[in-house]
Amino acid sequence: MKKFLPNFLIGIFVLILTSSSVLQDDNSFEAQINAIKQDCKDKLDGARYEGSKVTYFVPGTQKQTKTVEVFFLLRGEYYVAISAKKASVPVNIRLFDAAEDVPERTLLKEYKNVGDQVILLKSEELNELYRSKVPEVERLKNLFVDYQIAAGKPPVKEAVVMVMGRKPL
Amino acid sequence: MKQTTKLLLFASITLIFSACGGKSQSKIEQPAVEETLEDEVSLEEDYMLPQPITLVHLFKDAGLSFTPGLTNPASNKTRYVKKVDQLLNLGVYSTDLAYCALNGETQSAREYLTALQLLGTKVGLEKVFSDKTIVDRFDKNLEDLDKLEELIYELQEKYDSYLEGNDLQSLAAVEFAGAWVECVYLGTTEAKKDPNKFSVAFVDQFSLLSNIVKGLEMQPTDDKRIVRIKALMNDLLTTYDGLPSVKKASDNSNFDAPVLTQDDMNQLSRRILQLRKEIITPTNK
Repeated sequence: MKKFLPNFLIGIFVLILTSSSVLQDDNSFEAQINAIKQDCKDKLDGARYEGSKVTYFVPGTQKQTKTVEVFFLLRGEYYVAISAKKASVPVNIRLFDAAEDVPERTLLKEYKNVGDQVILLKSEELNELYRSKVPEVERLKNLFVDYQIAAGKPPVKEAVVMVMGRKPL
Repeated sequence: MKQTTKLLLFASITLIFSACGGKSQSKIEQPAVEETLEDEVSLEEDYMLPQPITLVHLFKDAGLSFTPGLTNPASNKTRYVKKVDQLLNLGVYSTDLAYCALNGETQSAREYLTALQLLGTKVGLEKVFSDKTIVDRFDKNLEDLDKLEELIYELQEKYDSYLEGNDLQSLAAVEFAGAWVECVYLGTTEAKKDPNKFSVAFVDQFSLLSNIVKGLEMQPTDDKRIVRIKALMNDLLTTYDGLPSVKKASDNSNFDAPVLTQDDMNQLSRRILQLRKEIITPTNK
């Protein structure tokens, strides 16, 4: 019985040490995401913040695709900054004008293995590209951004960060 | 040995406090669900919704003018006691704030800002809304509509970051549902008189609806009110998708938008009014 208290306390100590380290990892992960978000915001060239989306994933044994739908509802130029810095596996970014289930959707642009660089999309450039591929359209109001995430290890949570801004007319 | 025990006891207590204090931000009531790593990943198909002020801009750019008495009175703010009512009307008031500010109704806008601060604090987002300097800056810029607009975007950014940083995006889905319904409600009154003029703006607004419904479906709650609102929104979406003009149009929203007729607008309007009434009426205790 005399030994019970110290052993019990050692057990508690180890348990708390472990959970505390998990919390710290979690906080540090979030801090890194916030820093990346700030990097993306800095790339928006003074455009007014419209929103952000952090896409979380766990690299698996097979490649996976995650899509983020964004809306360019207003006139003016939209800027979208994307960073896959917090991904340990190669990430390709593919831009479409419609969802996967829409037949004959158009691939506007593709960025292969984006690495640490922040990709900056500008709606005016995308509009020009879109009109060159589909002459009957006026402009993009709806953009589907596919992240093609390669297979890989280890099984930990990773993320792609997107921040959007707009410069009014 | 006694020394070691004391040391361990002290270390454990210290760690307990530090571990508990690690994430001290207030959490909104959510059912306890054991999370695995797989649960923490994002959906295969996700979306980024615009700000309530962007929704209002869309209608304003289409020519929507200000109609006094349409918004949900700011004085109703104290009537919302249930958290779900507070969240929905946080969205409603975000739209009303933008509607008033963009139309130069700055005194009313200020009242909505105060209403937002009250409801925001009540739902546990005091870190975003309790900043008194916001009202001060608002007051200083009452004559400068661009600055007011800037301030609203800034507040929204703060709100977004807080929700994202604290894993509370599900709250944003409820708030946005309120904001969207209020906006289409404000647009309906004029659009019914001139469907042609507002058809494109309405179609653009409705391009968001399926994602709003998806956001409500993801709510970790079986709250009767959310269930009811979800059902009404689904009905609105089904009605919209079933309109002949919409059925004829392409699935690709970048192509020619459907042209809504007077009859289409009437059908949508009835449902929007019902939905909006449901949202701004406080739950009976």
